[in-house]
Amino acid sequence: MSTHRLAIVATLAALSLGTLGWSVASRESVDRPVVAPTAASMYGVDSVHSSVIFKIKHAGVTNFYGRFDKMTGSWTFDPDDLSTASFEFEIDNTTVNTGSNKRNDHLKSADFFNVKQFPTTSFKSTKLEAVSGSMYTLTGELTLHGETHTVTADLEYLGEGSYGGHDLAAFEAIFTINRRDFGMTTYGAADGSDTGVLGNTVKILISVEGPKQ
Amino acid sequence: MGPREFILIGPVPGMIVGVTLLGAWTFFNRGKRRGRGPLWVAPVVFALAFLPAFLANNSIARVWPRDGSYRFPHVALAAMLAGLGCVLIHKPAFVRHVISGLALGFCVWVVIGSMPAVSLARADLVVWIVAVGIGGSAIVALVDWAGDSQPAWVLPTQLVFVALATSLICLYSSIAILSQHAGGVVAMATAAAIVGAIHKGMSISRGGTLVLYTLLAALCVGATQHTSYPLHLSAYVLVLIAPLGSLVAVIPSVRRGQSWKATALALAGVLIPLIAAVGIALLTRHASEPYAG
Repeated sequence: MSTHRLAIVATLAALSLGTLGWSVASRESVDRPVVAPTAASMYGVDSVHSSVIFKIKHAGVTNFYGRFDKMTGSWTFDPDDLSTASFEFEIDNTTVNTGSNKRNDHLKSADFFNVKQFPTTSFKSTKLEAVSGSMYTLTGELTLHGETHTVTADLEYLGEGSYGGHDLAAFEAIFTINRRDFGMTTYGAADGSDTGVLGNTVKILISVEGPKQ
Repeated sequence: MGPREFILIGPVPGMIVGVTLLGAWTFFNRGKRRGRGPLWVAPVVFALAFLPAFLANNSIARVWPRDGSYRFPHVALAAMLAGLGCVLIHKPAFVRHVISGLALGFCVWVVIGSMPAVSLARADLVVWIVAVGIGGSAIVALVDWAGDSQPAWVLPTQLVFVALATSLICLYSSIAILSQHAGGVVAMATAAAIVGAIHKGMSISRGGTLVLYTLLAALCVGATQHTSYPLHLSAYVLVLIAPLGSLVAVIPSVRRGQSWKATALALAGVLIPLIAAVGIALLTRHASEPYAG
């Protein structure tokens, strides 16, 4: 093979291999998601599309559910750097809603939340740890009924999306408290169990839709 | 309210007060009967017997609860100490007024002192403390004085009426738990009235009246602040000044008349403002009353 022909074949081979390599590389970039290092994003709370639901025993048997209709706050989350995570929320105790105006009013009284003295319940995170996949453990300080205690929640990051032209992200957190720890003992069994008129254990679910700030 | 709560609020405080006062005054009457008798027993037993009524639906979860509406054991303890002071310190008399005034004012602070940060002007808190401290001290002294001129059962019976009205006022303020606390006072005062009917010389004046009145005053003041649905202020004020109606019995013309008429007037004098107070409470109450559980 003459030198001239050899140069042409080599050039074609190089182009072919280059094209193949580019093709494989392109295909790989489609198949494998690229986790780009992004800065932590800050989100607010869309009160209309967020929920605060609580569960408590009634008469030692029934699981009774109620909710709060208004929550405000902000949160910062970066899956690649959990040290920057921050969650701060405030629940308006006057918006407690159990489907009965009579009971709502009673819950607002000094028998329970005493909203005149304690109009809000607040949460401020101190630590977020990864568990697996989209599951995390969120630790923070919950201030309820004037008492502050550390609580730990199971948090599921639900992902990002958009609504009405705005970017958003969502998560759901579930945690359990004993209301006696927060000095709210009325109508609860003195032994701390759930056998009283109302239970002492309260399970709380917070589902947040956060518009990107 | 279940049977356990009912027993703790009614029969238990009533039995403790009844048995203790009956025993103390029986023992005194069988002895040499020096002085005015064991007046110190009433403030102690009233304060201690109130605790089961408090514990019926609560527990002492904190030494100093953040929620002022949970501090009634503290009120009872402070009132008991002041009551003992009033019994033990005879002269000078103004010291008793100072002690009872300080106790009443302190108990108001105990119950609503944590409110200014959110829903009560600090100046209003001071007005409440001073008004109840000075006014309450004067009322207790005058009621004790009027009570001494009546049969022993009359003063406790008047306080039964006041406690019943307080219970309704708290209920109409949408606070069932304070209403139940007042129920405990009803039971204690009723037991004292029964003992007074048995032992003519029995008295709850000085310390005993102070403890019961302080508990009721703290409940009324608590009901004005720890509720989103306060009644018209006049309802609370009428309940607090209603015991002054007993002074009808010491009006000279009444005093000179038949004793049963003076007693009837003394009871009516307390009842009438209480009926007015409950009427105002009914008219100004929020549509929703406490929904137990």
